[in-house]
Amino acid sequence: MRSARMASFAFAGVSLALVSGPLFAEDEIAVASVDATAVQLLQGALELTRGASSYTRLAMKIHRPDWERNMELEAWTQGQEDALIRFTAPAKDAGNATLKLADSMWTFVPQLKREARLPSSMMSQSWASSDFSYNDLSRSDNYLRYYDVQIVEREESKGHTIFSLQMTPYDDAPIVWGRETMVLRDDYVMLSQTFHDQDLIALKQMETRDIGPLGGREIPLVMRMSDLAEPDHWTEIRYLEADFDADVPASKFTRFALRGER
Amino acid sequence: MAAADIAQAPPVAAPAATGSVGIGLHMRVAWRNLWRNRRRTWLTASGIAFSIFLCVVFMSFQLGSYDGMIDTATGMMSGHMQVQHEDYFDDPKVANRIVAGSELLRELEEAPGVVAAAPRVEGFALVSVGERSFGGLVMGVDPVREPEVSALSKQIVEGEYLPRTDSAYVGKALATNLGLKIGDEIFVMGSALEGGVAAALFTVDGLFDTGQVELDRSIMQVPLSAVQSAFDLGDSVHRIVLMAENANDATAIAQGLAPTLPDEARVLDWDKLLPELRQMIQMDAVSGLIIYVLLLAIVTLSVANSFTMTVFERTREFGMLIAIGMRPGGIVAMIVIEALCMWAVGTAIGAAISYSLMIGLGAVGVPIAGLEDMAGQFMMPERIHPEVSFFTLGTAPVVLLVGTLVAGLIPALRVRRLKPVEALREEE
Repeated sequence: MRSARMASFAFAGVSLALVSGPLFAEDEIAVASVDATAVQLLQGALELTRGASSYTRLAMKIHRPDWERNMELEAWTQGQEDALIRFTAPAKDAGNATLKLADSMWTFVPQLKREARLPSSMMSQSWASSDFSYNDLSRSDNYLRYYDVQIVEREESKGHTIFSLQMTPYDDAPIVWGRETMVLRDDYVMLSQTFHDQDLIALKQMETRDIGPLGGREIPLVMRMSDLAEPDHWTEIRYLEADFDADVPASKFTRFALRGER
Repeated sequence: MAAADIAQAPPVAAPAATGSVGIGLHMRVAWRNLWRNRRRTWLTASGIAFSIFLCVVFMSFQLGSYDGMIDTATGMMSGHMQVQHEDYFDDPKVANRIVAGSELLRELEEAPGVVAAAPRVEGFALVSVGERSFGGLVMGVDPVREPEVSALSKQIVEGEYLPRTDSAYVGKALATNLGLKIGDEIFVMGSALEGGVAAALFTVDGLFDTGQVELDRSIMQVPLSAVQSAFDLGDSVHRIVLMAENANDATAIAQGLAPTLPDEARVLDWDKLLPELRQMIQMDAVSGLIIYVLLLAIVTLSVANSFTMTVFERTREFGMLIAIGMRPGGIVAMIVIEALCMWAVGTAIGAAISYSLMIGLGAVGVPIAGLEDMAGQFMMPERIHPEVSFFTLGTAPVVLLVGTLVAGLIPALRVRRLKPVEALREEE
């Protein structure tokens, strides 16, 4: 499960939680105690999941009122910082890839055989026309230091403790949101995350729509990011395959690999 | 002096005693009275002349510069009018497009009042050169039609304007930021209309420098068809830019076009496209107005002062005129006519100088030497043609005419309360 965190960060670093893995070694069943502090919940997960690498295959559906687009992609991750995502379908998009190395992101277009580094001014733009932004993809453990994290609610449900976290960026943090709220289960499965603007109006929401076992862990299988400002605009990702202990060579996380060259 | 004047004045005014006096006589007397104190008359009249000169010159330049500003500002990018998808202005995203672009373009080119039309598509994209990249607006234009609606193609400093289907025309500041030169390749990547990646390669064939930093460092023009195919836009366009013969006709022409457009399209005139332009003009006009009002008010007060003095000094004279039978109303009329004569002298001088100057400069224009950079930034033209119109030339004289009448009338009305016996005893 800790690796689930990796995979998702790669995908949707969207949320820490999405990604939050257990606090303990992989084989232990990690459950946060009811008394866990917010920072423990988030930071513990972050610190204990370093060094893992993963391979996942995902389906992505972009939904708009007048069209829908189904895509498939593969993602490899290493540690918390490095990830490579490559589209495999549809044919028109196959080969398009995004590489993240620490704070830098590159994107590759196979038809033109060109790659470009993403400037920070573009990070809030939509990634591959989806409701995810490049920012959503690129979040990693930097994430925590910019926020004041509070547990605002604890609730017992179906044998789990459900934590509601409120994350407020510090005044000088380079974060576009005014506040984020997150609902997290005690086994670190993220249930939802909501992004609010500076006036605390909710703009985007990520929801876990299905939880199940994959790659030997219980993980959020289907997640949907909705644009709350535009009705009927959402992007859903679904895990098709996951190996959270994959042996991914370091060469996967190079601009050479980004270009699909072996 | 006063004693001598009075000795002189009654014989002239004497016919008033007969009761009915023609306006011609009043005029003659008033004119002569005016020159009894030459220095004061000249000072007051030159105050009037000077203020008319200032107002006429400032107003002509001010209004003249507005027309220039409007032409320069609309001529750079926005055009006089634009036809867009109804939501594009508030939410400029790729999906807010006019689908049958070329058909609508043909119709608009034929429309009454439209002298030029050019289509544009726009997409926000990642623009990358070598290792450098930034987010910018990629504008697809028709290389033949675009120069008819925008001066951008004339601001070329190097190379050619979109000679090939994969040419790029780039702002000089942008090129400098990216380390670009003619012949370099630009890689552009964005989101296509229905998902997926939009990407295209262009070669820099021309550089422009408008002096407007915002344009120079953010805009990149490429051929229309290249953007349409990269973004899967088909025949769609985002803007059809229209020019009228004169910017001032845009609103009327736009109103005429509106009912002929497809449902999802609307037409915006430059007033709506560039709201800051109108605001700038209004702010400037208001600050000008304050200065004119102050200037004219001060001159009116000085005229009032001058006539108040006159009435006080001539109390004995007026008392005598009443004593020998002139009606107070006649005296009031005489003073008012004196005021009018004063206005006429001042206006004649001020208008003669300022009108000839403005009509001359209006024809040739005044270069704003050495201010080209500033002119670029503030949307100013490089030459200002002062506006010569009834409004710019006539406002100051008319306002002062009213001011002078009031300034003369108020002290003159005192004469009606004059008691001849007391007035005659008044010490000089």
